[in-house]
Order: sequence, then structure tokens, then C-alpha cells
Amino acid sequence: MYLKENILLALSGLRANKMRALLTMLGIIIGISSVITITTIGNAVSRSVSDLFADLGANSIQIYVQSKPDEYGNINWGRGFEEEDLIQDEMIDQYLEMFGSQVDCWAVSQSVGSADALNGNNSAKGNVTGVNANALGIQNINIIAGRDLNEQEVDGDKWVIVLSDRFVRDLFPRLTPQQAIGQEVKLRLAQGTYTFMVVGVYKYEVSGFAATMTGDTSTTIFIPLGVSDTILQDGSTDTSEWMKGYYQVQIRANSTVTDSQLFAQQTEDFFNKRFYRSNPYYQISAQSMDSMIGSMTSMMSTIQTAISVIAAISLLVGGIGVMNIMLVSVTERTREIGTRKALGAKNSAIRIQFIVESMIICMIGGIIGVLLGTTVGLLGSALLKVPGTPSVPAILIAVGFSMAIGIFFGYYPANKAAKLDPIEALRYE
Amino acid sequence: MENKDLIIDMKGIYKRFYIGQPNELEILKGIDLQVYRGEFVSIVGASGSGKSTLMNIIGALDRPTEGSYSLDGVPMGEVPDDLLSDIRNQKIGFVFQTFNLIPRTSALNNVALPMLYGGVPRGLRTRRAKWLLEQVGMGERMSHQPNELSGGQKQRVAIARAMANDPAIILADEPTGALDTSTGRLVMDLFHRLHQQGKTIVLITHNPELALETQRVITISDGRVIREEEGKSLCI
Repeated sequence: MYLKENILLALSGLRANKMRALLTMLGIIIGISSVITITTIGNAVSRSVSDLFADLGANSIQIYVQSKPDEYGNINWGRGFEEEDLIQDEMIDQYLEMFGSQVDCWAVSQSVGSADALNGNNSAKGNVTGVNANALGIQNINIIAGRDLNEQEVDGDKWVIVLSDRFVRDLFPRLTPQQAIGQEVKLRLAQGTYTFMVVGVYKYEVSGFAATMTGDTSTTIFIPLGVSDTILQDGSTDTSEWMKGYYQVQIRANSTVTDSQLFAQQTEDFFNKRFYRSNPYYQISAQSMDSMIGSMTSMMSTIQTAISVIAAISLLVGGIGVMNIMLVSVTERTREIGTRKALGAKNSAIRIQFIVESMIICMIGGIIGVLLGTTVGLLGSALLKVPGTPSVPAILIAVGFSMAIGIFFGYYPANKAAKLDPIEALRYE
Repeated sequence: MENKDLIIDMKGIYKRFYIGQPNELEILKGIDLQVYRGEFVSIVGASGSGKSTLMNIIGALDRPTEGSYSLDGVPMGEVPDDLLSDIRNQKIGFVFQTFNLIPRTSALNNVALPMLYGGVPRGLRTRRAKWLLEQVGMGERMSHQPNELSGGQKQRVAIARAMANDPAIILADEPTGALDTSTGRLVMDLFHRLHQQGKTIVLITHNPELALETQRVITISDGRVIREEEGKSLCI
């Protein structure tokens, strides 16, 4: 019944004491803004991670070489990789013989090193990676002109290349991606300079969180595995001998696989039983995207929980600060309370007045916190290069929760005010 | 039979503090007091005479330890706090020495406040508050806040506020105590005007000259009424 009057009164009280009000709100502001910041960034990261994994396909499986723990479960730091520890083509062939009917496609890659791509006076920098046939699809690379590398090119000694439309623009300023197909490009690598023919152009993706996770594909130049083998053998020296084989293989299961985690387990068992049983140092681990998403999500939620606990402590401290100021305010306004009682205010009216005031302080603090948190969250997301979106439920909960803090921590001072003896209060100096 | 024109009817009022303790204090020692409708009465007494305690009981801020008191026909026995609030709201208009306007609240809203607590709808509240402020000559300063008003202006707003719910009595505690002589005179003239309009006014003061302006002067000393005399009933 007095709600509007109480709100106006509380606001005019805050205006009269701006600095004090701001300092009082500080705890609430910090608490709420940290919650909003972390939910904004957290949401953005989780979503872009799950977008990435969804792009890669939930039925993707990563197979990689891993240190074998010793009998006590400790990581074995016995020695570095040797060729016998890596995944070899024969292993993949045998695996495909066994599981080929369930595999849609697979990808291995071999980093050759950074290179200057040259066409006359035009040049561009990029990283050269050898890949197997039809590997680009699995890595979420979108061919816009020409085609992916095929089987013959990969197995043979075809000096062909797939690069991004960025490269085309830098190297052939006058040509469209379609026109760039068939053009010659020179790559200057540490091992020497080689000439390639463009067979495909893929769409450049703005470097984002996904790219930082998987290795930025935007500047990557793809060449056939057979060619990268040749180049690496050229560059091989006594001290840094090139090892044939792969540290990891990516597999995409087809639709006949319903349980990708089970399939990952079968894959892992196959490699370990057949090829790594006698290897004392290394083994194979295969993980489905499902389980990777799971571990990513649980990591994110651990971080969120930690921040939330900090925020909760901050809100608690902020709430106590509000209570403290409300107690001061009640003492300062003892005469006013006495006057109100003399004019006929019931205890409940006084209580409501002070609870509303404390609620308004906390709500304004909450709103400032939301604005601050959203700003910081969006800035943070921008720094991480993920599209940040403030979570509306989180904002509503934050404002609601700050009002609840106002009620909770305002109740005791409000009750103290309500119970003042009007005679004593009127006489208070 | 109850006299309808009896606004304040006090019989054998005692007020004791620290009851049962060694320092038990008896402030009021059997006060009988009757104030009739339309009267302008003053209560005088030195500090410590019990006059403030009596005023608190008249004003329903406090309860007597012993004795009977009825205000405008309402017996004030063991009434609960909320009912006391209602009685203060509806039956009594307080005017304080230190004005006691609510800070950061316009004159208009100060006057409207008792009506707010009395549940008067907003539109009516505002209209009556405006009218009351005009009556005390503050029609031009309705939106001013207390810190923008002089002492005399504050007291006029306070008197308008005391009139808000058309109370049975106006209880004025040293209303001119914080004002200079000429401003105090204006405030007293305002009380006389209200009295002429039929208001019942109880003035508590230690200033015998002011007291003599009223119809009846009741002198309190050591918790007892020691004298009742007619004032000069200065009418303007």
C-alpha cells in the first residue's frame, strides 16, 4: 500500500547520500558482476566448444599415442617418441579392414613447417601440412573451388595443393578462386623450394576459439601425404631424424555406429591389443567427441562453480555491508521514525519502509553489477574471440537474488526500527 | 452517562517507571483531567514536573500504569500497539517544538503522510494536503523540502500536518519554543484561529504568558495538578 511512496523515499535517500550508497552497493556489484561475467564468458565458450564438436561431428573419434602408465599407475617418462611408437599406415589399414564398414572417413596429418607461398612478386605465409585423401571434410574445411586431395595424389608423387581463398587473394589478386585452380604456386620451406599446382580452394574462417583449439586452419596449406613424406625425408638429418607415422588419427564413424563411446573403446582395444601390447612406453587412447564434450563441459562447470562460490562470498559480505549501513541509517533516522510513529505509522509500515530501502539499494547494486558484468563478459568473450551473449535467465536471477539479499539483510535493521519506542525515538538527539 | 463533549477524560492517572526495582520512580501521582470539545487548554509546569509524561499519555504514545483515560470516547485501557497507532493517526494531531518534518520529503507529502498511514486514497490525500497548506498560508511552497523552509514555515507545515486526519485534539508541545518572538506570535495566532474554527487544542508549555492566552491553564507540579485557572482567553 505504501510501496510507491517507499520506493520514492528510498530513492531520494540514496540521492542524498550517493557516495555512501555506492560504497554500500560495492559488495553486491562485485558479486553480481562476477557471476554475470563468468556466465557470459562461460556460455560463449561452452557454446563455441559444442559448436566446434558438432562441426567435427559427435561421432568423431580421436585416436592418439599416449604414455603408458607403469604398474603403479604413474606416467612413464621412459623415453621420447621413436618411430615404432607412432601409428603407421599398416596399422590404419588393418584397422580399416576390421572396422571399415563402420568408418565414414578418417584423417591423418603431418606438419611440414611454415612456408612462404610465392607467385612472382606476390607472397603469403602459411603452415604446410600433409594430409591423406578426403581428410579435409572431417576437419570441417569447406572447399569452395576445385576439390579435396584424392587417393592417387596422396599415394603417389603428385605435387598438388589445397589453399584458402585468402591465399588466392594474396597470390593471385586478379583471379577468383575458380580461376586459381590449375595455377602454379612455389612454396619456400626450410627443406627447399618446391612448385605445386592448385587443385582446391577452401573458405577462410575467421580465426576463433575453435581454431585456437584445433590449430588455425585459416593459414594452412594442405599437400598430399606422399609429398610431405618426401619433403621431410629431404630435410631429415642425423640429429633430427624424421620419423614416419602419426601421433594422432581422426576417424568419423558412419551412421551404423550408435554408441560412439563404445566404438572408441573398441578402437582403442584393437590398437592396443594388436600393436602396442609389447610396447612398454606407449599405448593408444581413443576418445569420442561425446566424451570430449563431456570433459570440456565438466571443466567449464568446475570453473563456474569456483567463481560462483567466490561470488556468493562476495554477496554475503556485500549483504552484511548493506545491513551495517541500514543499521546506521536506522540510528540516524531515529527521530524520523519516532515522528512517523507519532503520526500513526504502524510497526509494519516502518518495517516495510526500511526493507524496501534495503531492497532498492541491493537491486540497484544488482543492476549495476549486471551491466558491469555484461560489459566485462562481452569484452572477455571478444578477447577470446567467441561470440558472447549475456544469459537472460542469469541476469534475472542475479537481480532477483540481489533483491532477496536486500530483504534478508534488511530485515534485522528494519525490525529494529519498527520496534523503536516512539517516546525514546522522538527524544533522540 | 458519557459526556459526548468530553474529549479527554482522565481519572486517577499514575505513571511509574522501573516498577519493582529499587529505583522505582513515580512521575504522575493521580492526575484528573477533563478537556471538553472546542476548548483551548494549556498545561504548564517546570522541568521534571511530569508534564512530558502526561503529554505522552494524552498523545497515546504511552500507557498509564494506573487510572482510566478515554480519548474522544475511546477507552485507552490495555490496547495493543497497532490500535494505539490508529488512535494517534485518527484522533491526535501532534505539533512538536522541533517541527519534526520528514527530511527530503516535500511539504505536500509531509502533510499527506498521516493520511497515507490512515489509508486515504492518493487523489483525496493530495487535494486535502493542498487545501490544508493553503489554510496555513503555505500554498506557495508545497513542493519545498523542509531544509528549504524557515522555522516558522516549517511549523506551519507541521500544523497543517497535524490537521490532516481532522483529529479530535491538537497536541502542541512547546510549538513556539524554537522560534523567535514574532514568528512564535504568528504560530500562536494560527492556533487561535484553529480554536475559533472549533478545534480542541492542548498546549504544553513552560511559558506562562503563552499559557495565559488559552482558556484554561492547568499547572502540574511533582506529578500532580496543583492549580487550574482561567486564562485571559485572548481572542483575536
